Amino acid sequence: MRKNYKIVLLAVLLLFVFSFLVQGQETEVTMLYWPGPESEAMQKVVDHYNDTQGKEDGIQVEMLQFSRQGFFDKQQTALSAKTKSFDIAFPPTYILGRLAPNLEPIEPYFEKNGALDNLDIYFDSTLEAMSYNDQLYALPTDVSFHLTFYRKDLLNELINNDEWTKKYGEITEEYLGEKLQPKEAENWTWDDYVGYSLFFTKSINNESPTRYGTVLQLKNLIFNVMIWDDVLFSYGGKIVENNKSALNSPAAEKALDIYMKIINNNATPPSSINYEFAEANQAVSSGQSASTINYVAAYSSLTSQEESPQVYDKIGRASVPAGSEGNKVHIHNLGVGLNKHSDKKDEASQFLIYLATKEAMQSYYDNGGLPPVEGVIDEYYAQNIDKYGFSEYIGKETVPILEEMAKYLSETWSNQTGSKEALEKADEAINKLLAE
Amino acid sequence: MNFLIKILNDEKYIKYFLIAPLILLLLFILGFPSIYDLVFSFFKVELGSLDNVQYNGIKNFTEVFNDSEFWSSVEFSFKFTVTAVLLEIILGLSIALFFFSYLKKFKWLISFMLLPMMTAPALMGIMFRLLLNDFVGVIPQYLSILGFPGITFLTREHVYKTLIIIDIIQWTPFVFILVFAGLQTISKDIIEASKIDGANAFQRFESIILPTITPILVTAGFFRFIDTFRIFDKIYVLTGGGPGNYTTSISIYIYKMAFSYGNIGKSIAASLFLLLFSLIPLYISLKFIIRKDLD
Amino acid sequence: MLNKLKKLLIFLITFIIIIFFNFPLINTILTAFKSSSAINAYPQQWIFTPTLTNFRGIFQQSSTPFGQYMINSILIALGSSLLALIVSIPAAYTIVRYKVGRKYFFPFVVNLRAIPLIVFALPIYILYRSMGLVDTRLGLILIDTLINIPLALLISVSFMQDFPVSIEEAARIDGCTVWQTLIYVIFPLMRPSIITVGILSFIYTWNEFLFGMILSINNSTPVTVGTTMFITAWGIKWGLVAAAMTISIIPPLIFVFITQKYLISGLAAGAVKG
Repeated sequence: MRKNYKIVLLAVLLLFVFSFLVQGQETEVTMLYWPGPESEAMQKVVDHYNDTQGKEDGIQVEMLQFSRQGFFDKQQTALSAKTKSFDIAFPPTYILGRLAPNLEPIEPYFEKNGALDNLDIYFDSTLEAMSYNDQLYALPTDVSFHLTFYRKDLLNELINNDEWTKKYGEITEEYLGEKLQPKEAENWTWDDYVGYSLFFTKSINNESPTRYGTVLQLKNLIFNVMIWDDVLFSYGGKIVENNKSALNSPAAEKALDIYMKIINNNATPPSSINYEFAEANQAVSSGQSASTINYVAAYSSLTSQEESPQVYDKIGRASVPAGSEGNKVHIHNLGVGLNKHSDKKDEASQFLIYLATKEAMQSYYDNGGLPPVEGVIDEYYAQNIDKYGFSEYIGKETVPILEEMAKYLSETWSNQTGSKEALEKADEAINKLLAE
Repeated sequence: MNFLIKILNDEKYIKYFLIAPLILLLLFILGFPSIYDLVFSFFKVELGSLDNVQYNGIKNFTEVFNDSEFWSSVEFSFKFTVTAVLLEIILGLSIALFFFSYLKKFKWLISFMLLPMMTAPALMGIMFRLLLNDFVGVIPQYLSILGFPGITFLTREHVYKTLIIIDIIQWTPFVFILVFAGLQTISKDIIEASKIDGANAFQRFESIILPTITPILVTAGFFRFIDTFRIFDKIYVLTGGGPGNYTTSISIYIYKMAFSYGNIGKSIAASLFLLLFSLIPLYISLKFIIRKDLD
Repeated sequence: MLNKLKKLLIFLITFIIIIFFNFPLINTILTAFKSSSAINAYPQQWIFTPTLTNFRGIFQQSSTPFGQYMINSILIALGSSLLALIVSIPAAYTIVRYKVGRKYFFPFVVNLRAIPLIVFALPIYILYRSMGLVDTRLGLILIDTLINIPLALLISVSFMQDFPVSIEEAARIDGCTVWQTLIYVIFPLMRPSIITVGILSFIYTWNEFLFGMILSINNSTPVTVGTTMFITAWGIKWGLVAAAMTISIIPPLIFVFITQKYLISGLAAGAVKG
């Protein structure tokens, strides 16, 4: 029996030793990345680097993922702990200010290696978005904004089928007070979007091939507020003006009204109150919903035969619908920066320098990423960003403000409070944050 | 070296050396955090700037005391715990009685009943996330076929019941096993004798079975209570405390306060409140549960 | 005839009960073997062609090194169980034979289980931060040892109390020091208790989530936290999550079936005796 103990002990010791030995001769640089289509795309770029230039540089890059849930909390916690567990951090625009104390400006490293020109490949505005206190803290990797994704097969039918058009007119007259004609998605106003959503909801239109006309993302999450902000800004609304909250406005009420029309008429699945990116995609890819307004990253999932076998060839995309002030779409950038506490900043910056090249970014784009690089990014996307893009208030309180909005808005979306009350409470909370 | 060996074997000191490692470990892992908790509950500390502290007096405590979300989390934890534990006791007892009468022979089946409790609660939460998924989940699909379409398990309407059922599935076996083990200690002869004496099932239950299992039920209930009160894993993984704050248990509240909102001082103050609440079961445990005959 | 029917009914009810409690587990294991298209099928089929793609998949993604997660969990669970025993057994001896700490220390330690550990989550994080123990397996081993000590101490003390002093006295007369008595006489006879404590501690630590989540970043991620890494934007990749969970369940599963007797006595001891 004693022999068995010894064997077990030996095995454990060997395991310990083994886990330490699994490290090669090269320097290993760890990059934290957002889990999703973006990390899949980046993995390809990383693999290529490791096989080619990485060998020259003597660097191997390892990607690290956290769970999507609580991703930013965990990163913040890790950085606050002065962690060395990753060398490249992941600071999107909206938390750049908050993370800056734990990041190191990257321009000096580019300069040291004579690679300052590399940064020219990015759109100017995106580099600005990744700066704080006049220092560049991160390389933009993706420009994140929204598009309308819809079933082009169904919309085609709707436009060309007289019966359907007639019914569409009846439904829009009844629910929106105005008889509408079906239009191409690129020309939609929010009313058209609502009309489409109502028409393709089975409980309203018995003949609808889909159960729900759309799927809204209503979970208590700042990313979902960013989508709602598209509606808000398209009606001329704002969140912050002159360092005070400007949220509670007729525009905001109108924006909420649009959402509630869809929610209260069951044009979005009842579980939408728990939905975000993944669920919205699933609703569309499973054929349950006929449209969604989602982050551009969704496009690759929705049009992939492997991931959306039922609808991959039926997905159309269009700009986010227009309000009284035209089309407006929220923009933020995802990016990678240097962890101040890392011991391998020089090596890590080598990889960043590699990333800031047209070749690397082209590869990233080809694999599903959306880098804000001229000549790489789709003209269509570039135009959207150019014509319609906006940023909400950028400051240290950006995320807390969005969080308060998420809290109160999701309450009214789930019909717990009325629109007016929710806006008032959010307004108050924002002012409190700005006052601190 | 020799001196050391001599000291180590000295009868007078040995007893302290034997217990020293334990005490040292506890001082390290338990002592420092306790002191830190006590001291910094009076300071204003943020997660992003742990080295900047400002004296805050009792402001952290008043903030927590006035935070309606704190009290909702306490209410949630309490209600959830009481409901779940009661149901688990009733269910566990019933199953144990059933098994006992009919299936004493099939001991191997017991292994299957042990499985749910040996699963990590966090994993149990994820398993249900899969089961309840609107698109690929088995439960919504079958409910739909059976005529209950569109039940939204994780919305305010149903999430509480959903969580209770999940906890029941995982922990009823705990009560079951304990009661079953206890029932086995009841000698067959006594039961036979009572049958001969003409006692019917109910009387047998009352006078023989009940006295044996009551202490077991109380103990099981007690342990389930303290365990469920601090529930975190299962709920966090499934709902994140939501929708909104609807399913935020007190542990989730403390966690979020520190790691999501970064308000360390407030989180610690809330922890101390929780510690205060825990003194009650601690006291009960010390007084009644611990074996008194420790001589 | 009626008897046979009764037996069938009982069997059926038992079957249903077992299926009910193990339903989540069964569904997860089945899903692990399903291909992507089978998972997305509507309605879900119970009969399908099993595939091992998911199991291969979880080991292939380098940003979520599942193999590493498993190794971490094994080391942490083993480490903390061993450490808990190492500090508890001598302490138990002192408590029972020398009566040191019998009145206050012992009940205090055993009842630590009543305190929700979240209370210490933050200070431990900060302590580890200043000692560089964040994201280390050692750090997790230490805190998990704390979690296992109450039970280890309880069962050790219980054993020591029932252990006949005469055997010890005989050893002492033969010239053994206290240490030698502990190691060569008492310890070998403690085997059932040690196994019980070891198994229960291993399982509790294996299933631990909260500290695993807070204190690990990359190198020390245990398997419970690691499984959540597979919940990403792709709601569809449930196959990977299911495969990860299926493999994570294996150690507890093995223990349940092979050492059922120890488990039950351990649970009973923990609950009934103290």
